[in-house]
Amino acid sequence: MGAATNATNYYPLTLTVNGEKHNLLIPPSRTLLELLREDLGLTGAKHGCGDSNCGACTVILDGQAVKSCCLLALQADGAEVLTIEGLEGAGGLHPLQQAFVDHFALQCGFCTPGMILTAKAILDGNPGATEDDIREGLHGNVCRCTGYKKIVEAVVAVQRGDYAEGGRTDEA
Amino acid sequence: MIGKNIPRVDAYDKVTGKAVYTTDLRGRFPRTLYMAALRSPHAHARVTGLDCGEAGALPGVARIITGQEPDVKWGRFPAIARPARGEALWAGQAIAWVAAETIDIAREAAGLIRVAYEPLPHVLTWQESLVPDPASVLEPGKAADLPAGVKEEFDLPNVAGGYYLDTGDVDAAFGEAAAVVEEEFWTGKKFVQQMEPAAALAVPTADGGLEVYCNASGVHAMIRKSLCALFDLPAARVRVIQPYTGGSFGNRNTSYMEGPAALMALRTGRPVYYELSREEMFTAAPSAWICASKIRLGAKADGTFIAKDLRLAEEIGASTGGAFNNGRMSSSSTAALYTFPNARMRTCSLLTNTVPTGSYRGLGAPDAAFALEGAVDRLAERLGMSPLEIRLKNLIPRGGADDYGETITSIGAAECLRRVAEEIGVDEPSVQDDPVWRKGKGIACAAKQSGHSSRGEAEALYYKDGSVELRVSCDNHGMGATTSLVQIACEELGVSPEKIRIIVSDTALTPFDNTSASSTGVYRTGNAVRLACKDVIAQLREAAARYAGLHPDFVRIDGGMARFAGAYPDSMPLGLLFAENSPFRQDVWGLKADTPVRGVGVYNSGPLAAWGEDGRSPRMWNWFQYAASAVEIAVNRKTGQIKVLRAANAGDAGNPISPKIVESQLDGAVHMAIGFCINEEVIYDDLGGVANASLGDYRLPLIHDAPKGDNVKSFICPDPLPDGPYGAKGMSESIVSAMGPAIAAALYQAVGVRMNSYPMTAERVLAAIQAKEGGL
Repeated sequence: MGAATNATNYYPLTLTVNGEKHNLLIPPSRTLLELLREDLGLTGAKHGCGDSNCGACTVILDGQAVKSCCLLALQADGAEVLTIEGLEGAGGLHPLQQAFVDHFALQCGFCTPGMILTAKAILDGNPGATEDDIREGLHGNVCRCTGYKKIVEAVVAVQRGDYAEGGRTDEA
Repeated sequence: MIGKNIPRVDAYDKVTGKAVYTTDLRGRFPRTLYMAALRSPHAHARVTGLDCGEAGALPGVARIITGQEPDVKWGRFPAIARPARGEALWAGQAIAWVAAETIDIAREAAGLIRVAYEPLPHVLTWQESLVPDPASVLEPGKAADLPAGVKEEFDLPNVAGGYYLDTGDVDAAFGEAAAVVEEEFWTGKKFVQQMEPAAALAVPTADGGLEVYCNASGVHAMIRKSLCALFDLPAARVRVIQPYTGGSFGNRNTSYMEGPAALMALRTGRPVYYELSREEMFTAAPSAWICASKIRLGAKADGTFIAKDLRLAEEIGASTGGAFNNGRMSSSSTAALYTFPNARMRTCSLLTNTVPTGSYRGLGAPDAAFALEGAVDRLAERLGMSPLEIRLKNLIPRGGADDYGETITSIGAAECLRRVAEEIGVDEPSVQDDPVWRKGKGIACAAKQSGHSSRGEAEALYYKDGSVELRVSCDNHGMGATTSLVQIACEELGVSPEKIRIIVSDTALTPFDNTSASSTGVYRTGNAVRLACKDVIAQLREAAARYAGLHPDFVRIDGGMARFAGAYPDSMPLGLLFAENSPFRQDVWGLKADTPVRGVGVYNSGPLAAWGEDGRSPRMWNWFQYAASAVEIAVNRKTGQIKVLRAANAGDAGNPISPKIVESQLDGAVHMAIGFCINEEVIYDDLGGVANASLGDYRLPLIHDAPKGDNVKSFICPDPLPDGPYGAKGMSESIVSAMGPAIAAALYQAVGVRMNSYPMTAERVLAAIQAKEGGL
């Protein structure tokens, strides 16, 4: 409340987003999602519900998929954050991005960044993830348009190596 | 190009986060004000005091607007966007809007507004409202205007509109019927909950006009038209732009954000950003209307339907002031699937003290189909026929007539039914391998009309280098129509998709289009794109013919070349037709290097025919899309929980332009339908407000509610539409209708209980099981 008008309530925050280091002063009430979208202009993470139930705000924080709407930005101090904007490499789309395109695993696209990043955390954490593991991992991400069939198909295709030769260039 | 799966034209933007949505534009204009609302917690209350003094004095508050704001034509705002004036008619109705320098300040100020309420009695459900003496009458005197044919059935204080139909002699036909069933059905309130919250950014322009960015539908016909009417602005001074939009499902057809945001922008002279919270998406965004139906069907001994009598009420919340509902849209799903030589319908809309309704996938078709299909299943049981057999026997044949007397020009329902029946094996009983989880199968089919007649336009700009700009105002909510439109342009122009850039929905740039409501985007705008491309081709042929000294009939345009019949040379690159300008050559005729050939296409499906005294019309709608679903479910006898084990779904969308996009629409629609017939349920608090207004408490279907992998299958069973582009129709509405009745049928097979209402939540199913077992 009124934090924006009270300069004494700002705290220093250092974090790395998509490989780029940021030193910021922010009010303690700021969520990681607000920081990404409003301070850094990274609008790929979406605001869908504000209470962690839709997953549209999912980003990867130190290797874990987190719902950035329910994380205070200051909790990310010192962390490495990966957003959807950091996934495409010089060599092209990340395999998961390409798989979502190829499998028609998106429609309105609002849940897509969160879906892709959650999927990345699932596969990074468990390269042998089964279809059941993938479904369990995605259960906090809501899609209203596509159902989940093609989304799971896309993730399974990457898991089984269909995209191993593709433009996977990120090291995040 | 037609029927091929080219990558979606929006896919790259969406997988990289580069797609910009309306909600990504917050704060992108200098000096933006943020808007928050104070809303009534009471479903019905008199506002006896309103003090904005303290709120207005909070530093950073720019302006507060209440229902007392002078010189506003509130009556022209849709009900959902009108603030309470004197009385609040639902919990969630705005009492005041605050605009402030930050959203935190705006919300804090809204909390400082002092309101005194005198609570009044309310009605929240159709059961409370469809009575002669409801506790609350929302529009006293309204029911007096009803047509006589409706009044005889629904002369009740909260009835707001009505429609009736009389075909043949229903009473005589029932007298001759070998089997008659009569049942009552109802469906539960559902909320749309698109992933992107409703948002509008209104920017005042120096000439007193507006530039508005928003995620509502129909930039020309719905939004700009509405803004011009609200503020008496000339069309040329209002520009509306629709960026990428996070889902609509028809629900963004009501322009309810733009008016309040524009009002605030005009009154403050500053850009205003207005976004609903997720909670407000339950209390202040249009919900979906539901239906309560009483249906009677009569058939001959061989299963031929001979009579239908339908009484139906659409519950439309507090949609006061001239809602378009009268029951005609919902009941249409019962009128164009099976042949009924004798049919009677009496339908109405019904007001309650709940959030006003708007369009949602199917426009009540799923709710009415639940009644029709449920009754058909009982008739089949009565006659000893299979659910598949009785449906196939009675489907309207192509060229046959529906209840209204109009001709059905395309119907793929039979193939849809056969396909899903085969996939699930509906004629084989489920294997019962668990004493607790009992299994059952069900099948149903559905129809959905194409809505009202509407006009779509397109422009195709063909440049010297062979690139093409396609300008359309087809809504871009995520359905995939833009990809299909590009495919249509590729086919017509003989170019590859990379050559085409599609520009969508900006009133200053893209031509008129009504709105993509009722799944008509590809049909209407697709036809317009075709015509625009044909116009380009005609102009190129003409130019090439002049160049070659031939009649245009001897010129063919293909793949960036003009090809000549019987001439030498026999072809030339089209680029050569575009003359370079130079200081020494400044012609005003012929094709010019920097000026594209501009093709214009205007398509209108033609007028409908007004219905007569008997409610009949030779052209009530335009065309119908059809679908069928078959499921196998497991029901937990101890908890009542339903699990969908397998679902097969088929849609007749006409010829698919992009089969994968059609498939993903079918998959998604079925999932959405599983949500609203099993999970999604509104709970009211003591004041009549939505108690579960969050995605944590309102159970949208999640990944575990969907069967796994190939246990969900979608099939496309097209019957080409004669006037559709390449035979395409539309889709994705009929497909949400069949799931509810199919699950209800499977439930009956599994545990022997008939559910005549949904959502079929565990609690409700368990109660039904216990009632049955208790009665044994």
